[in-house]
Amino acid sequence: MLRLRLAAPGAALLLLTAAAAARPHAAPAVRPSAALGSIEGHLTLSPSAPRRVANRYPGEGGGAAHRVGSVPAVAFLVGPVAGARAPAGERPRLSQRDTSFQPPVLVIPVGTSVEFPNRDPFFHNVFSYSSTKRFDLGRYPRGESRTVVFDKPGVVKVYCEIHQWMRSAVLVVENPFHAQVGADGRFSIAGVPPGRYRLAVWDFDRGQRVVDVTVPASGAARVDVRL
Amino acid sequence: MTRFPSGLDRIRHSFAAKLLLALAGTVGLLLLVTVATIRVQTHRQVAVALRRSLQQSRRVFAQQERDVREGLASDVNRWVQSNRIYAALDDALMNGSVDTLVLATDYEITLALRPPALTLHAYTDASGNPVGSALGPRILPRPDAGVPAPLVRWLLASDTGTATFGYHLVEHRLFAVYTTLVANPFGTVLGTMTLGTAVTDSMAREAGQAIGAEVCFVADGGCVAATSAARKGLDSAMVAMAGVRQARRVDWRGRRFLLRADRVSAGAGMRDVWRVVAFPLDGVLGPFESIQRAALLAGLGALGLAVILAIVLSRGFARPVRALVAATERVAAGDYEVRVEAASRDELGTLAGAFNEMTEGLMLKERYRGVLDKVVSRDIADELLKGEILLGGETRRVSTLFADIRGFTAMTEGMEPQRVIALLNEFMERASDAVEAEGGVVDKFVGDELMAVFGAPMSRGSDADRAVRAALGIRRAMEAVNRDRRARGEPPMGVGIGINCGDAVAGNMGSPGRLNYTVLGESVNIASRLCDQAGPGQILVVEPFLAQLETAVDAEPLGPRSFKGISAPLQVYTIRSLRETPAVDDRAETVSAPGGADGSASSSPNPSPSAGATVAGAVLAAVLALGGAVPAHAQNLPTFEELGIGWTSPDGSLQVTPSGRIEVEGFVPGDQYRGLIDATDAFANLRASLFVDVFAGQRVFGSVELRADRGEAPADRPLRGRIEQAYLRVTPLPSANLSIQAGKFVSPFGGWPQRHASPAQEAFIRPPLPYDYRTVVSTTAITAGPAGFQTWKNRPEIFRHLGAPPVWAAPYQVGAMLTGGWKALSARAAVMNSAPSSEPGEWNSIGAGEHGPSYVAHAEVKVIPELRLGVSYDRGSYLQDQTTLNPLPPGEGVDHYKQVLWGFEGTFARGPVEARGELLLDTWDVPNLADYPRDVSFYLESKVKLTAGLFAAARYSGIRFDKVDNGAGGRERWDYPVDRLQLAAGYRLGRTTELRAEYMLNSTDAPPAGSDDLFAVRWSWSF
Repeated sequence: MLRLRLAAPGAALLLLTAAAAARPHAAPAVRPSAALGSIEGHLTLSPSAPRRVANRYPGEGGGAAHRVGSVPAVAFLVGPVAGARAPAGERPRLSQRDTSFQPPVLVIPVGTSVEFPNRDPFFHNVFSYSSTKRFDLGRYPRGESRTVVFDKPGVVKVYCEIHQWMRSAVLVVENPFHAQVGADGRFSIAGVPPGRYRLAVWDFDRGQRVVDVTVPASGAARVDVRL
Repeated sequence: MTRFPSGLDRIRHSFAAKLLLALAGTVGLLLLVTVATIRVQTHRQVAVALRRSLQQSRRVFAQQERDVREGLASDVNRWVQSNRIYAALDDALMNGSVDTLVLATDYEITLALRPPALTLHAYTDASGNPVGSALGPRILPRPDAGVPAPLVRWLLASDTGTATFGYHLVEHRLFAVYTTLVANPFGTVLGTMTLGTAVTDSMAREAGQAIGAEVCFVADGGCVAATSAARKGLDSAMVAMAGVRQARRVDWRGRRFLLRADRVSAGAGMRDVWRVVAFPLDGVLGPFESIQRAALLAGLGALGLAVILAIVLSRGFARPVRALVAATERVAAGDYEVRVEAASRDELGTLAGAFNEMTEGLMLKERYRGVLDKVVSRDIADELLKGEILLGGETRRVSTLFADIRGFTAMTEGMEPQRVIALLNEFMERASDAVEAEGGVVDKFVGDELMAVFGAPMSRGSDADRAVRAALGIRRAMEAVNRDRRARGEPPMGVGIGINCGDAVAGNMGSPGRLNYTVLGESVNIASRLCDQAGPGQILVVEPFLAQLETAVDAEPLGPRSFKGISAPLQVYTIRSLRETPAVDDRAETVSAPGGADGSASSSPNPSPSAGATVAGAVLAAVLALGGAVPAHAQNLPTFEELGIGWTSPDGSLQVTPSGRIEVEGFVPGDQYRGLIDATDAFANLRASLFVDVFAGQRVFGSVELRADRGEAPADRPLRGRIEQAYLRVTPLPSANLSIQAGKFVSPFGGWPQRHASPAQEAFIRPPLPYDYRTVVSTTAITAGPAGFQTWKNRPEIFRHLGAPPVWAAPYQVGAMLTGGWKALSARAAVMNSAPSSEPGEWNSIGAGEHGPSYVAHAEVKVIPELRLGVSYDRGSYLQDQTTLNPLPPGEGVDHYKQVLWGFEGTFARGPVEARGELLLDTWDVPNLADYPRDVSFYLESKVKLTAGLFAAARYSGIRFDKVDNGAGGRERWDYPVDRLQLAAGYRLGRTTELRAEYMLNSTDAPPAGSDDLFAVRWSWSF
């Protein structure tokens, strides 16, 4: 039974570091049109001081040796965007390696099947209790893989029952407009057709906030979000 | 006279009441003390038992609660640390649906083998807002239904997030709940989770079985979980216990319970849950109640016995008293022939004897008096009998009356002498009656003349008037006589009377050998002269006499006449009649005088109960009071063993163990104690015994007892030391239960001697009759023959000391004994130097002497563990070497005469009750008797342990004697039957000390009479 005890600043730092290390997301596959705007935003993570649970079993299982999987925050437009479909690329993978999920956050279009290959030399048990997609892949060893089809949009939190510090999120989207929030809290979604949108900014621990945003025909709509 | 019966009733009632009070009071007091002691002990024991039960139940419940809590904690902690629960709670918080959460937890519940329907789980967010509640898979309609809000509040408020435990009611069902935080591994608290398990009947049953009680959990005014009995109706009483701090007793279906409520959860906002336990009392109270019942029954039986005894004794007392009273009445009525039968030889018998002597004396006196009355007047006889008449004389004022028959000589001439005497007697009788009717004294008869005196030897007042009335009475009487005579054709008798009054000398005159009371003087002479001059029917007096009269008379003067010795002539009158009749009849006084005896009967001394009984009662009460008052630990004197006194050889093969016992006894014997105590006054006895036991290896054992006391038959004599026992026992094969013993030890005959020294086995101070009563068979005195032998039972008490008991208490004789045992059977055979009846002086000789040894055998079988039966036999010479009184028949030695004893014994012991009985058949071969005098003696006893240390015992023993030839052609019992009742009570003051008291009552017709009871107390200390 592992339990990681982190101080609030430490957690924030960890998240930022993780976000900084994350691979930049590919530009949205949107057919260029005459006039496209963009969304420039900034996410301020409230230094929440969550209640601490007394560590009644210090050092048990060497919990401190494992770093809880950090998941970068993601900003995305809610709902379908006319004329813009999320690219159905190669079959995406959420692999388990070094007792962590790779990548920490996976953004996929609705209807995508995702492979969950086990690359570690021991069992993993991947499951999700998220309403968007509840699944339990059971235990399987190295080299095996399971596939889940995500047929509803939304955020699916993925855990491994065996290794509690392992976590990841699958963001099932209906449009290609999304961006990871950088370590400095900044995010930028380019090539958005002008119009009114609903922008969701989601963080693994803090949930998501949806704001209305109007993207101009040219230039950038600026958004500041607090979570 | 009619007051005698009421006087008797008063005596009887008073005596019966006192006797009843003494007997019933003693027994009643004992009963009261016993029952009270048992009650107190019962309460104490019940309180202790219940306190233990309560403590035990609290332990059991605490353990049960701990088990429940730890089970819940173990599960819920595992679950909340699993990311499934927090993932599910996270989702519920994000999406507002608890379906997944409930599903996930229910899955865990199933895995943990918890019954889903009895498992509560509920959730809140990190602020304590309820998220959802479910029983297993079933989501409760209200999300907060399963949330123990106070527990959640405390949990969230606490810094450490320590989980909390409590009780929570959901849908009228009580749940033990455990609430803890749900956090993700990165430390974020998502909310709380509560896991609860229902408190079920089976849990109540489990606890109930562990503590042996009925259990009910009460919440919200109802029974939420209970044992089956509690469910069946006891629950209403148990529910009512909620909030009650005191224990309560209830009866339910004929069973008794003690209810006790404990609050199992408390705190602000938490529901009060009460655990009510019903301890069954029957099991705890039962044994005490049966003891109490037994004691009460035994006590009431004893009380009834005491009442019956009192009635019987008082009746036995009243019957002779009634006979005496009846006899007294007859004596009062003048029947001096009456005799009272002296049935018994006690005080009443003595009284009857005294009464008989008295009536005999009275009869004799009456006979003398009768003679006296015939020769002298009754008054004079009275005076004479009183011895108050002096030989000399005294001058008294007396009235003298002379009466004689006119012409007696002429009338009787030629008459037959018998007829003359008859004539004279007729006159004298009538005249005497008339005189005595007036209180006069007929002084003498001289020929046909009667002389009567009024005023001597004592005056009754109005003596002159009496004399006149007497004279008139004589005249009347004679008139009646003459009427008859005339009717028969006989000539009438004419009586002349003279009366005079004056000073005269009165007294006994004559020689000391023959006295004659009479009066002499001038006035007497005048009366005599007047009589001489009186014609038939005339009553002559002189003038001065008339002046003496208080009553007016009709008198006719006859003119002056001269009298010899009187210078002047005196006027003579003849009295015709009295003018008026005297109003006062003084005779009433004389009649009522004997009535004074009435008072003496009612004031007869009330027999007081014997002093011994009174002292016994007082000391018994004191002993009981002391026994109750002295705490046990105060009496725990150390023993030699505890003090480390003793010696063991270095290799352990030789061991010397000393021990001792000190007994202080007090005896209050009655006037005539017949047991082996030589005293009739109260005395104390100190008995100090020192035992030295030597163990040499496994095979050899030796024991010596040195004793100092006031004799084997204790009495008021100096302390004497002696070797009570000294013997060596060899057990050749320790495994074979076979041993040989030689030396001085207690005879193996009978049951009582074997245990008399063990305070644990013997409840009394004095032995039963077979071991404590001297018959008239002597070990030294030789009877001449049957006739002489029959008188021995009635000889003075001092001779009974020559008699031998069937068994002389516990005879410590010199001898050798073989003992063996096999399974439930044990047997002993011994040769002792003398018979069991032999005197202590005989016990110590090494050889048997001329009289020869005594052979003893004893066998005992343990029928069941509670019951032992035994039989013993003894045959041996009982005469001592030196005999007295009469020679032995020629050619016979003392060894020829044997005593043969058979003994049968039984012991039953179960629980606090022990009962024993013994029957001894004793046959003597007595020199010069063709018959073999036999006696049968027995006892029955019972001992009850009332409470720890306290016991009471009763023993009845008796001895009966056979009929033998009485030398006069008949057969007669050779000694009087004796019965003995012993009541004893004892209290163990500590481990080593004990106090006991005994009251003994013996009953027999054997002389001499005297109260034969004994009160004894004993304090003993074994060390």
